[in-house]
Parts: sequence; structure tokens; C-alpha cells
Amino acid sequence: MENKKQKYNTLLVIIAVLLWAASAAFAFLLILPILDSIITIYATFWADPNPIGQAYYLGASIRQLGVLTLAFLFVVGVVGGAEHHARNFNTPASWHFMFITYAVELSLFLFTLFF
Amino acid sequence: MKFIEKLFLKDIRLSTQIILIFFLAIAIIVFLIHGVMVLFFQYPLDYGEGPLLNQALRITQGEPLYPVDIASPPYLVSNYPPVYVLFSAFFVWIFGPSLVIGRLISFLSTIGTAIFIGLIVRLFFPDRNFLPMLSGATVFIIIPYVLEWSALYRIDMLALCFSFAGLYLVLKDPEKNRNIILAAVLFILAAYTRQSFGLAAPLSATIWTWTKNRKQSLRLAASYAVGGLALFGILQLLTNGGFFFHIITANVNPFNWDTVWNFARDILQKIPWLIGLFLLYLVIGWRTTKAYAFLALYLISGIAVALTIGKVGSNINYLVEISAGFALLTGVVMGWLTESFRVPSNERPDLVFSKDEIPEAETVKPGVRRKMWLNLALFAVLAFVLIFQVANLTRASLLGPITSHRNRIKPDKDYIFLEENIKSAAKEGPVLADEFMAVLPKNGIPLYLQPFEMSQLVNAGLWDQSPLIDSLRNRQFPLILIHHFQFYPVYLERWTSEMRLAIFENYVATEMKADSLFFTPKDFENETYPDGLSCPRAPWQLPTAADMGLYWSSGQMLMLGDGLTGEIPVYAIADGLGYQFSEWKTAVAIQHDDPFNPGEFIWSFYGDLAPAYDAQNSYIPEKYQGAEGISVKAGELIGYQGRWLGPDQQTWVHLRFTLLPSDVDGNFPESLLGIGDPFADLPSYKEQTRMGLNAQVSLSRYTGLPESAIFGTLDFLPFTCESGTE
Repeated sequence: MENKKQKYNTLLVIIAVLLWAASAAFAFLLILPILDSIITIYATFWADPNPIGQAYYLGASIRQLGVLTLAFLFVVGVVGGAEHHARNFNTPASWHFMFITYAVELSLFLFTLFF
Repeated sequence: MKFIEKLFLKDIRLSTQIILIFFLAIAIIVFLIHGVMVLFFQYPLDYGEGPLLNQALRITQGEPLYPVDIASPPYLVSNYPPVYVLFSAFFVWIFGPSLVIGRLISFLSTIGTAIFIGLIVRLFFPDRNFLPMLSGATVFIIIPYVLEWSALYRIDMLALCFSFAGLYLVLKDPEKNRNIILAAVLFILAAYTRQSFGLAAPLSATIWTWTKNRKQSLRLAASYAVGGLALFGILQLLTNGGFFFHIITANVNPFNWDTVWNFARDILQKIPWLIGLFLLYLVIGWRTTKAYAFLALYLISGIAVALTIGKVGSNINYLVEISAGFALLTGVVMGWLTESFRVPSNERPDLVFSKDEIPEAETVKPGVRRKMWLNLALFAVLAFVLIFQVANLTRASLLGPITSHRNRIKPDKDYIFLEENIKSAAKEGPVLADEFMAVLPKNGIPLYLQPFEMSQLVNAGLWDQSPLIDSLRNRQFPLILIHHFQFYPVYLERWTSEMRLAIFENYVATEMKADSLFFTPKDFENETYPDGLSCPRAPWQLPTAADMGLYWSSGQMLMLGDGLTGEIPVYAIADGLGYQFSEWKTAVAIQHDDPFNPGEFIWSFYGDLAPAYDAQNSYIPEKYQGAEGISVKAGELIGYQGRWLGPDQQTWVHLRFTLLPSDVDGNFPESLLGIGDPFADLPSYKEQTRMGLNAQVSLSRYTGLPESAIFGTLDFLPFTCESGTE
């Protein structure tokens, strides 16, 4: 009985770690497509073919600041997520957080597909 | 039911909601940014803004809104009832004429309508969360027709807001007399803001009330009819019959079913999912939602009103009412499918559990479990349909109206030039304009002519244009602005052929800014103009008419004619031998003896003689297709002006014309064969000289056409004859 419970716990740990690792990898891969989509939307409003125009530089700035912001959020999300799952392992809070993480990532993935 | 099942039931729904809210938020942000972008732009974005600002200005100046006499100037038509104009006149009176006033009214009205859509959805689903309300309201503001119109100085959004406010009051409590009377007043306001808003909402509200309380329904219908007719009578009396003429008689334009089909295709392309929901709702909605009695009727009557988009000169504003109907439908269906199968609260499993502890399994009836999973599946399917629809609508808005407004706003320096020219010309006499006519009342200058409306009256035999034609012939107008949209010759609907002829005979387009041509009176004393298709003293005739001006493009000339694609003839400029080389589909060239250098040859080139995107059906007569030196006489027809600009682009109706040197043997230079492609990278004059070619052949010298010293960018030139030609 104890052995079975041990196995079950190990399985849960593996599932949690795999889900967390996949979400981290997925988030990393989303950074550049998200920036592309944001710049596409920006260009729709303020495109300027002039390579030394104000719109171009603002676009470039948005991308640079965007990289910084998303990279920061990525690190916070990955480290914070790991900490949260470790502390609350196999609790409703942990599984709920996993769902939310994937919902947000799916939203962002769809965002990059549409824009 | 175990924890894992509860978790999935709860969190799949929550995750779907997060994704949906994310896309709804993007749509709202896009709508708001576009609104702010348009509100801060101080120049016209639509033809229809000018007449409305002018009407507001006229009211503040004590001028009649619906004058009976339109035989003498100013030649104006007030196509709409007075409510919106009175609203904006009030603010014009306080702040002075400005486009921001009317645009802000429209923008706030759009937001107001979205709120009423949400509130109406809430009436039918009070126990749901905010998602059905938010979905309905957001779908409304992100439909491209609504977004484009949301911040224009146009009447439609205010009319829609009144109409939805009335609907809300009736649906909220039809038993209350106060609601019925107030709704009737709001419906009258909507109808007196825009005539066509007098049908769908009042009709559906009356029928819906009939299903609840017949007496109240009759009260609503009677109040609306009596109030509306009484107001009509008063306005008729006050304007001596001018009201009827302006809003009814002058509005009966010719109808075109092609326009209806084109818009129907566009709607189907933009909102296929909503159309699907609509059809489904028509079939099964009566069994499932209480809203059916009014919503189905509203949608059907809204579609009937939208069909009037076939009127000549109509625009997407004919679609905003039906767009609101589809948005309402979205909210209602969302409310319905949030929980399709009701589960009694005492039989529901407890989905609220502690954060730290996995709850114990719970016994749940099999029927309840099945219902809960079905509810979740239906909700998730609908939510994803909505996510795809909202994302597609956002994309369509970004690529459609937002891009178009961005392109319109971009050349801001051109607008300063345009405004200054109008202001300075207005000191010398009346200025005529079409697309940018709002610049006149914006600067306190009253309009003299609404060209589109008056042209329609001429076509309907309701107005004698001869006094205006006489004024044009007498060159009484220091400046006439004719907007030349690159992708469709709208000016043909706005100015009658007689007006255009009088303009082309007496005025010349001297500049083109923000796609508007600046026509100024011809100076016959100091300038020479083509007589028919020839310039005095030039040895060769001109290839085609360019009444809409010339664009110099690095040695080539785009000659812009007046008319539709495939209508304006192109002729050989002189005797010679006609060729169409194998690389060419839309162009021909003619080899001529050089009149200035006997024994030598010059080539005339005629390009872009084809419809947009369609090189296979070029306008070149069969005998010239693939020709290898057939004899051509001066003045012989060799094709028609087209919109062709390569396989992926189109532009104004034009001929691309130039003169080219021959190689040492008199043949067409091989290095220039690429000229058949409008965007070919041809050798520069210096390179041509190095290749042994004669380089630049003067267009002025041989044909009298003007030339420019500017290369690398387009330079507008007037259709004049260059003085000093030999």
C-alpha cells in the first residue's frame, strides 16, 4: 500500500515537473513571436516606410523594451512558478496555477497566430 | 466525483474564459486606439463630414437647414433629419466649427450603444457573469464597419445609440408607461437622426411588447407614430415643404444590386461565424431564448434596411445597425450556452475547494455529471468560435479601416498645404471641393456646392445644373478640389460629365496633394494648353487625354485620364511601325522616323494598357498583340488607358508613356526591354549614354508635354503644353 502511494507520488512529481518544464520552454519560445505580433499591430497604426522616421525608431524602441520586459517576466514566471509548485505540490492551488499558466500561454500563442 | 474531475470542470471553463477575455481586451484596445487616432486628426476622413459640419455652421449663422430654393447658390442638400446636426450645432456655437465635436459625439455614441447591447444581454441572463455582456458589446465595436464609422463626423452612431436606448427601456419593463413613452421618444429621436433607423428597433420592440402586453404594444406604436408624424408635419410647415424634398426626394438615388452582392460577400467573409450563429438561431432560437421574439425580428428588419446599401453613393454606414444586431445575438447566444442544461443548485458538486487540501470524492448523480460536461463542452466550443471570430474581426479592422485611416492621416503636411490653399483661394471667390470640403466650414467658410448630392439630383432630373456650368465656364472659382482615389474613380459619381467637361475646358490640375487634384483657372494669356490632343509647334500629337493631370516618373509620364478603366482611348503619336515584344503583355511600342534627325529612329512607348491585375485581358487591339513591325498611322487607336501597375498593384486610370532612343541599328534597345514592367530597374541616362544610346529623348520637343528635372520620385505636372517647343 505504502509502495503504491510512493509510486503514485513519484508519478505526480514527474507530471508536475514535466508540465512546468514544458510551460517554461513554451514561454521562452513565445517571446519573439509575441514581439513580432506587437510590432505588426504597432505598424498598422503608425507604419512609416522612412527608415529614419520617428515611427521606425519608436517601433525599434518598443521591440527593445519588449524584449527586456518579456525576458524579465519569463524569469519571474519560471522561477516563481517552480517555487510555487514546489511549496504547494499536489494541492488544488498548484494544479489551478498550472491551468492558469497554460491558459495564458495558449492565449499568447493564439495571439501570435492571429496577428 | 473526484478532485481531478472537479478541477477539469472548473479550470477548463476558467481557462477558456481567460483566453476569450484576452482577445476581447485586445479588440477593445484596438478600438480605443483607433478612436483616439481619429479624434485627434483635424482634417476630413470622409466626404460626408463636410456637409454635416456645414449644416451645423449654417444653423449657428441662422441659415435654413432645408432651403426650398436650390436653383441659386449655395447648391446644398441636407440629406438627413436635424437631430445630430442640432446637437453638433450647439457645440459649434460654443466652441466654433471643428470636426472633433461631431466625431466625439459619434465615438461616445458608439460606446453608449455597446453599453446598451451589454445591458440588454444582461436583461435576459441576469444570473450569468459579465462574459455574455462583454462579448456582445465587444463584438459590436470591433466589427470593421462599426469601427470605421465609430469616430467620424456622421449621424449614424448617434441614431443607433438612441435606437438601442429605446430598445433597452422597452425590454427592461414594458409594463411601465414611463418606459414606453420614453422609448417612443428615443425611437423618434433615432428616426429624426437618420431616417432608416425608424424601422428595425421600433418594429421589433412593438412586436416583443405585443407578446407581453398588447395594450402597451399599441401604446408604444401609437406614441411613436403620432409623435413622429406630428414632428414631420411641423418640420414640413416650418420649411415650406423643404424638409420632405431634402430627406426623401433628394435621397432617392439609383439602385445597384452589384453593390449589394459585393457587400454581402464582404460580410460573409468578415463574420462567417456570426452568420452561422444567426441561421442556427433563426431555426432553434425560439425554443431556447426569451429574446427571440424581438431579436429575430430585429435582425431580419435590420437586414432589410441594410439592403438599401445598393443606393449609389452609399457606404458601410448602412451596415452598422445590422452589426449591432449581430453583436446582440452574440451576447444572447453566449448567455444561453454558458449553461445550456440547467443543474439544480442542490445537486451541483462543490467546485469551491480549499487551496491547500485535495478534497474528498463526492457522490454526484450521473445525469448531473453528464449535464455539467455537456455544458462545459458547449461553452468551450462557442467560446472558441467567438475567439476566432473576434480575432478575425480585429485583424480585419487592423488591415481594413485602421490601415486606411492611417494612410489617410500620414501625409499631414499635405493637409496643411491644402488648407492654406483653400483659405487663400476663398478670399478670391467660392472654392469647390468634394472629399475635403469639410476644410471649408472648419475654417468658417460656407460651402457653395455639394457635388455628389447635386449630381444625383441632376441625374434624377430634379435640378438644372446650367447656372453652375455657366459659372464654371466663366472661371468664377479660384480653386476646385477633385479627389482622385487611387483604387476607384469615385469622382465620376460626384461630378456630372457636364461639370467635368466645363472644369477640364477652363481649369487645369496644377497640383495633387493627399490624392486631391487642385484645379485652378486656365491662364490662356501666359500658358499654352493642348488643343484636343495636340500641342502647337510640336511635330507629334499627344497619345491620350490627361485631364486629371500628369505624373512624371523618372523620365516616363503617367497620363491620368477622366473615365473608367478601358474607356479612354490611346492613339499612336505619329506614323511608324508597331511592335509588341514577347516580354510585354500590357504595352506596345512604335518605331518612328526622327523628324529632327533624318535617317535616325525614335521609339514611342505605351504601357499599362490593361485592367488591374489582369494582363491577359489587355486593352490592346488584337492586331498589335505580338506585332512585329506592322504599319501604324498617326492617330490610330492602339488601346485604352488602364489601371494596371504590375501583377500585384493597381493605380489611377492612366497611360504610361515615354519616348526612347533606338540602338545603333534603329532597333528597340535591348537594355530597355524591361520597361514593360512598371517597376523595372532601367539603366540611368548616364548608363544609357555609356551603352551608346542617345539617352534622354525630350518629350517636350516631340510632343509638347511638360517635363521635370526630378528623378527618383513622382512629380505632378499640369496637362499643359511646354512653352518654347520647336
